[in-house]
Amino acid sequence: MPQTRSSPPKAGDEATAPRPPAGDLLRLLIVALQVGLWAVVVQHFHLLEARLLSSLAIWLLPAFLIHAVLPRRFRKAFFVLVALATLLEVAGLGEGAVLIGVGLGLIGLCHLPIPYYGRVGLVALATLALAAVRAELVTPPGPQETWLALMPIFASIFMFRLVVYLYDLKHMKANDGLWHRLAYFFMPPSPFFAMYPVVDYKAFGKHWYDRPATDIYQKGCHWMFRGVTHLLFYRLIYFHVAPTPSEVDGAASFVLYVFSSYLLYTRISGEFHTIIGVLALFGYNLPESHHYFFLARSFSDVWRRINIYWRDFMMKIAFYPTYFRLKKLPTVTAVTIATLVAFFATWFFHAWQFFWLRGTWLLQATDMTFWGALAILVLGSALRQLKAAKAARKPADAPWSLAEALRVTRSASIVFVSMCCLLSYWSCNRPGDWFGMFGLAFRDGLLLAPAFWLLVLGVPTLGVLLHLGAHLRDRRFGRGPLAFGPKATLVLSGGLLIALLGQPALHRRLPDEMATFLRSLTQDSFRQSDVELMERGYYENLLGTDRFTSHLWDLQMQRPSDWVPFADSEFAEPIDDEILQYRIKAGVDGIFHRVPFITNRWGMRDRDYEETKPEGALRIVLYGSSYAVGSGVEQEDAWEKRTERWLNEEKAGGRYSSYEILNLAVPGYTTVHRALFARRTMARFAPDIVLVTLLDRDDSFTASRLVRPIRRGARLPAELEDVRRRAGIDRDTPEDQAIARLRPFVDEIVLWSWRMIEEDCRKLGARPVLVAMMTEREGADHDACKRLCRLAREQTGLFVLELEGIWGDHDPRKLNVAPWDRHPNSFGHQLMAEALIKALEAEGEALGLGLKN
Amino acid sequence: MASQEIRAAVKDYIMEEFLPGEDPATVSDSTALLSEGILDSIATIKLAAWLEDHYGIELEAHEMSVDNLDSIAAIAAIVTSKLEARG
Repeated sequence: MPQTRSSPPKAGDEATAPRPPAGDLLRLLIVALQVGLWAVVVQHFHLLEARLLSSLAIWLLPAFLIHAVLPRRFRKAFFVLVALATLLEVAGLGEGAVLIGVGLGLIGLCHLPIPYYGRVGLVALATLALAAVRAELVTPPGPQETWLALMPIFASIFMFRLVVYLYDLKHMKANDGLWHRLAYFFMPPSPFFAMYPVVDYKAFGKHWYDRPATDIYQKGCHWMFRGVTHLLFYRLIYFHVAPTPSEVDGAASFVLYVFSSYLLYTRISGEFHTIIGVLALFGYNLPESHHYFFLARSFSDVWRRINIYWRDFMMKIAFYPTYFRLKKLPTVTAVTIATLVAFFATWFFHAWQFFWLRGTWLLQATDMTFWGALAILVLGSALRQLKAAKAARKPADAPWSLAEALRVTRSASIVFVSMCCLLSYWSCNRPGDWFGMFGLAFRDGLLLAPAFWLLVLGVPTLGVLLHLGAHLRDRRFGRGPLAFGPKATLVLSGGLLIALLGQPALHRRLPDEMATFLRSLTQDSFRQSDVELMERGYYENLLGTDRFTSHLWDLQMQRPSDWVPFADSEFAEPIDDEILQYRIKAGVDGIFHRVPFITNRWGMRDRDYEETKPEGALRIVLYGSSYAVGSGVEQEDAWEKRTERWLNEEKAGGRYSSYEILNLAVPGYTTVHRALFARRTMARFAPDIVLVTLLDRDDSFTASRLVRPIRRGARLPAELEDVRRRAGIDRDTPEDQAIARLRPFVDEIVLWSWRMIEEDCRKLGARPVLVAMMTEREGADHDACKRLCRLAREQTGLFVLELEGIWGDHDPRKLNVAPWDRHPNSFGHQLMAEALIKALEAEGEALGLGLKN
Repeated sequence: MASQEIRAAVKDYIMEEFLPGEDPATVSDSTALLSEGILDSIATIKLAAWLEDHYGIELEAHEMSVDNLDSIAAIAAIVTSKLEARG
C-alpha cells in the first residue's frame, strides 16, 4: 500500500480528544530531558553569546514545563509574560519598559478606529520618528544612550513583523484575540537574537497546537539540536577552514575562502532552527526555516530552501501583489517584473535591517551587485521552470539510478559552487577585493591546485552519496516525519554524544591534537585574523566582512555609533607626515569612548610636564599605541600612570628624587609609527630611558597599518620603499592582498624601526627598552611576539623586558572595556602594571633605574 | 459545483502538472502542498492561473497564502466560496 504524504493527524481540541494522561506525562518528561540536555550542550559549547546564554538556559526548561501543564486558555498569556520577562532581563528594567511601551504604542496605532491607510500612515510616521532617533537626527526624551541600546532589540522584534501584521490586518476577518496578537510581537526568544526569522502572522496563528502537543514539542527539540549541529559546524569551518581575505595568498587559500564563505551561513541557519525549535516548545508548530539549502538544484530552489521565512515574506508583500497587478500581461513579463521587485525589496529590507542595527544605511557595491546577480540567476531559473511543460519530478517510489544521481548532483554542484562564489564576493568590502584574490589564485595555478580539484570532484561525489543516502532513508522510513519515539531516541542519543564531546574529562584522555580540536569547538572566541580585523575595524571602520554570517558581526552591531576610531575623533590632529598622518591634539578636554580624555600642552594623554627634566629626576618617555594611551579607561587607571605612581610613591628617594613617564603613545601607531614619531619628539624631552611597547599582535598590526600609506601612494623611507618593491605592492593592490604580501616582511620592518629608535637613543645617551606585553587575550600570538623579542636581543641594542602570563587565569572576556572593543579595562591595566612593576624591580639595577630598596 | 468534484479536479491537475508519475494515493486532501514543497512560487502561479481559467473566478494576491493553498481541501474551499459569492 502506498505511503500517503499526509502529515500526522491533527490534534483537534485536546480537551475533547485527550491522550491517556500517563502517556502524555511520560512524553513530556522525555521532552523535558531533551530540553535540559540542550541547555547543557549549549552551555558547554558556549553556543550563544554568554550574556544571553545563561538567561535562555535558565528560563527555558521551567517556562516550558509550566506552559505545558497550564490549561490551554492561559497558555498564550503565559507565553507573552515569559517574553516580557526575558525582554526586561535582557534590556534592563527601565529600558525594557520603554521598549514594551513603544511597542504597545505601535501595535495600538494598528488598531485605531480610523480607515486602514490612515493607520498605515501613522505607523509609518512613528517608524520614521524612531528611525530619526536611530540615525541620531533627533534627541528623544531621556538618555539617548538608552534609546540607542534599545534599537537593535526593538528592530529584531518590530521592523518586519509590523509590516506582516499590517498586511494581514487588512484582510483579517476574525478577531484573533489580544493575547495572540501580543504573542506575535512578544516572543520569548526575540530579545536573544539580532537576526530573527520573519514569522508570518497567519502561519503563527494557524499552526498553534495544530498537532498533538508532545509531537510539536518533540519537533522543537529536534530543531534545537539541529541548530546545535549547524552552530558547531559553523565553528568548525570558522576556526579550522575559513581564511579571511587578507590570508588569501594563493590558489589553495582562495578555494578555501570561496568554499567556506557559503558554509559559514550555517550560523544563521543554526540560530533560526534554534528559534523555531524554542517556539515549538510553546505549541507553535511553525514550518522549518531552512531546508538542506546546500543541496539546492537550481537558483530558484536556493530561494525556496534558504531562509524560507524570508522568501515567504517577500512573496507576500512584493511578489504576489506585483504579479497580480500585472497578470493581464504575458506571464513571463509579469513574473520577471514581480521577481525583480521582490529582489529589490530584499535588498531594501536588508539595508533597512542594517540601518536599525548600525544606524547607517548599507550602500555597498558588493551588497547591491550580490542581490542583483542573485535576482538574475533566480529569475532565469524561474523562467525556465515556467516554460517547462511539466515539473520534472522523480516519483517517490522510483528505483535509485546512478544516472539520475549524477544528473541531480551536477545541478546541485553548479548551484553550490556558484553560491560559494557569490557569498565570498558578498563578504568582501569592495568588488575589486574578490577579483584581486581571484587573479592572484589564477596566477598561482588555480586550475592545477589540489584544493580546486578536491572541490570539483569532492562536491559531486558527496552529492551522489547523499542522493543514495536520501533514497535509502526514504525507502526505510518514508518521506513523512518520524514518530515521537524514534525522533526522541535520535535526538537524545545525538545530544548525549555532542555533550560527551564537550567534556573536558574526555579531552584529557585524548591525544593532544584531537583534544585541541574538540576544545576549539567549545570556545566562543575569535580566530586571530578576526581579532586583527576587529582592531582594523576599530581603527579604520571596516565593517563589511562576513556581514550577517560572522559572529564577529554580532559584536560590531553592539558598538555604539559614537565609538569612533581615534583617527576620526576630535582628539586627533593632522600632521605633515604621510605615514603618521595624525597625532594627539594638545590641550583638549573631552570624552572619548565614554571616559574623560584630557591632554597636556605637548599632545600627550598625560599630566603636564616641563620641557626640561627637573633636577634629580629620572625621565622615561613611552612610545606605544592605544594600549599605552589607556583607550577606554580613566587616565589614572592606565598601566603607565600606575607604574609612574609606584615609582614615585615607593621607589623615589634613592638615586633619583622623582620619576617621570612621559606618555607619547598614540592610538593606532604601529612599531613603524612609533619609530617615526620618536624621531620627531624624543630629542626635545631628553629622556634617560625610552620605553617602546610590543604587543602580542604587533606583527600583524604593523602589516595591516603600513599598507594604507602604501596604497595612498605615500613617500616611504628608503628601507621601507625597498620592502614595498620586493613585496610587489603598489597603489592598485587590493588591501587584503597587500597585507598578505607584506606579512613575510614584518620582521624586517620591525627591526628597521627598532634600529631607528636605538640610533636616536644613542645620540641622546638614552637607554632603549623594549617592553613586550603578552596577555592572554583572544587571538594573542605569543610565538610571534617571542620571535620578535629574540630578534631584538640578537640584532639590536634594545634591552628587552618580556612580560608573559599577564592576565593569568582571569577570563580575557572580562578584561575588555566593552564586548566590541578588546582594549583592556581598568583591571586589565592593573594586571599589566603589576607585570611591568615586577619586571622593573627584577631588572631595575640593569636598567639603571636607581630604585630605593 | 460540489466540493468533492473540485477536490478531484484540483488533485488531477496537481498530480499531472507537479507530481507526474507519482501514485495519486500518496497525496491526500490534507497533504501540505506548500510546506512539503510540492507547490513553489511558480507552481502556485500556474495553479492560480488554472483555477481562474477553469472556474472563471478571480483570485487576489492576499489569497495566495498557506490558509488557502496548503492543501487540496483548502484550495477547494476557496474555489467553492468564490463560486458561491458569484452566485
